[in-house]
Amino acid sequence: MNVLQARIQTTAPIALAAMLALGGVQASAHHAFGAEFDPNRPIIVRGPVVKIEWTNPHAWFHVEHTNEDGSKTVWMMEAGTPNTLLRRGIHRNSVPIGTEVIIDGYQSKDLSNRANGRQMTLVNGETLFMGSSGTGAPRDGADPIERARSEDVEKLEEAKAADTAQDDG
Amino acid sequence: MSASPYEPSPLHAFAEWLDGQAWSTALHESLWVYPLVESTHVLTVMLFVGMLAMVDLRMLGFAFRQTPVSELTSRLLPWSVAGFVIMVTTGLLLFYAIPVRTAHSVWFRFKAMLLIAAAVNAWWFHRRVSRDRERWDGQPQPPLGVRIAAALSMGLWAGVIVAGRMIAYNWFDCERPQSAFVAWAAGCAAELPP
Repeated sequence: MNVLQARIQTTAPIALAAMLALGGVQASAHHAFGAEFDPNRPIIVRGPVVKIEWTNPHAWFHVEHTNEDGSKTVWMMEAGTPNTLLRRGIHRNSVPIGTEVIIDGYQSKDLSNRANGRQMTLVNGETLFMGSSGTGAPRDGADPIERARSEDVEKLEEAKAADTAQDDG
Repeated sequence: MSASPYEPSPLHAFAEWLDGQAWSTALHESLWVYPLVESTHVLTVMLFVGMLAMVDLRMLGFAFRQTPVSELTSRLLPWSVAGFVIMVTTGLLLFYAIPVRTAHSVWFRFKAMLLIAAAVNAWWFHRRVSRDRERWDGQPQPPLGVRIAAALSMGLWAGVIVAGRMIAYNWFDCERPQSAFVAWAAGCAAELPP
């Protein structure tokens, strides 16, 4: 075996390990919507917030939902990153533990008690978009950025229609 | 909740105890300190394992063949000690920040086994193989025993890095439905009482 061959053979596994190690320090469960959640399983949970995990890559709100038979289930509702939430003016203590909330979301594909949270509604009727934009979640109108975009599209189409009408006239 | 008795493992109890500490939560939820600790861990793993890999390659007879092994180790040792100390400190902090999930991670458990194997290999090398170091110190290709220890060291540390990287993924987390094997390997029963 010549020296070059030996070098290549010995450095390849190291390079591979280094590439794996440095492929981006990505924390758990960071994913597109479709990798984890089922758009055909919309759910609504209602109850007190029992725990908040204010962590990257997603914050989690644990909500104790009372089922129809009276039993209680704690649902883990995934939110956006702490940074996305902070930029929307939601911080760790915005929704104190024990606050009664209603969260619309989509259950995880593995049918565990976890869901992608979309819209959080407080008892006074105030709504907060708690998810992330651009993850491939269904266009359910929960995301204000998405709403703003579709309004723009409507305006553009109206303007086009008006143009066409003038041309005809 | 059924009435069957539930006895958490000592490891689980310890992880829960850590998890209950305000500093553990504060570190995990810190926007800047947690990523800094995590990045420092990765960088010092590079420093430590990088230094180690050069010594291992020398002992395998692939690199610095004309340099005595003792000269190479004495030059690289301060760097690898510095890397090792910071790597271990930041690693412990990462465990402290997320104790329960990490204690029940199959990847973390596998990594711990590889770390123990790497430590045993290093101990065995110093105890047995390097006794007659003077004899092979200057040899371009040291004897087979030395080369085996060096190859094991590289393989085990590469495994440690890959397993450590995989801890980030949640495929085998206890909060998801798991096969009986994964549930056993991760000790999920302790985390999710019947």
